[in-house]
Amino acid sequence: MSERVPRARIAMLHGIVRREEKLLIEAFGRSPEIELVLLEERAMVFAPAAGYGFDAVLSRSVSFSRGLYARRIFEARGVPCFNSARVAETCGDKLLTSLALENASVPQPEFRVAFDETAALESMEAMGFPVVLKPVVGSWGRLVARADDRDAAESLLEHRAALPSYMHHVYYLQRYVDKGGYDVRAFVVGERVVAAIRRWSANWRTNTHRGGRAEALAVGDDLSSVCLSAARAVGGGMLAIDLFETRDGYLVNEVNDTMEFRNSIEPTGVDIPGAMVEHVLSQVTEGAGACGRLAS
Amino acid sequence: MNVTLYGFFLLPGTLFLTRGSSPATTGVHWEVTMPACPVCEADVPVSADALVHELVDCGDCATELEIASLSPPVLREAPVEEEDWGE
Repeated sequence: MSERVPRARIAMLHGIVRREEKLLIEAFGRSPEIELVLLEERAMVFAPAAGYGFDAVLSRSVSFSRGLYARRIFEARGVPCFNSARVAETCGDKLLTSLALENASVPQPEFRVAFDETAALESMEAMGFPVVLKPVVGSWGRLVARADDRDAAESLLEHRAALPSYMHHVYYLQRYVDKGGYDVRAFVVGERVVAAIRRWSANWRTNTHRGGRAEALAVGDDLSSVCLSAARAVGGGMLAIDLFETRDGYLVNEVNDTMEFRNSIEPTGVDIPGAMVEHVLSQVTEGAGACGRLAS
Repeated sequence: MNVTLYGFFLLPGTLFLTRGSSPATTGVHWEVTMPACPVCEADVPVSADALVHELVDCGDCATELEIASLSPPVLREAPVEEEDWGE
């Protein structure tokens, strides 16, 4: 009996291995067409002109900066990355995401950006409280704060200004959306919305990382349309779109590049890691790679 | 995975679990190693299908740990969440 020869050698860049990475490794293992190479980012040294013996890289780094710079290096050597460095860069920065959505006329909550405490406070007053203050880089709801009035806003801005990183002195302000205890997360893989959930939480930050509860949501035409528009706006690929459902339709809150899906498989019954592996393989075998493929 | 555990026995530093009832895997043996927690030195079970860099929790002191090596089994404290971690 002859063994099937893998058609593609795919590297998965990772740091710590979470449930998502284990599920992806299992999904890769179910495909005889793929040989998987695990790249542990902390053990890697990128040397000039080094060659890489794989066809593509799937980035699953939990670190935005490591994942972004590694992808830049791989792409500079002609190795396509999933998602591309450009997509990672856009999704990893809330301002860049908002600008990309705005340029594509994708509905999103009203936002402002200020570089000074006083200007930020005046802007918040002009927007009307409550206002949400977010770091431009960061995830899992970390340091996301809601100011219900001017006093709270002054305190938040003072604390933010005291933080040492210059990134915390870029004040991204977003109008608070009363979302009724839940938000929506939809998973885009290529040109399809493969699954969606409602995330319920008693906390105003509905994030399953913070203990939110997930339930399946049927993907209708309106949800599919806004999610695919958002995905194209940031460059396309495999993306988790977070949305608010309002009386006026969906608003895209965030677009996540290294999507977490462990809590969405059971309620939706969708093999999300399997869909991701299929997508990577199809892109590689088509020879297109992920780099800017959907950008137009 | 359809797996039913039906027995185990202990050797120094190693816990062997035997699994059955799964039609495709009957007779396969799971080896669960028990490396020490670097913080409190309690034995921490690490299953045979664990991967290097996977996270486990110490049942005694609740420290989040990272599997540094499987052969030999070694645990270290998991890296602390950094500002740019996330999705």
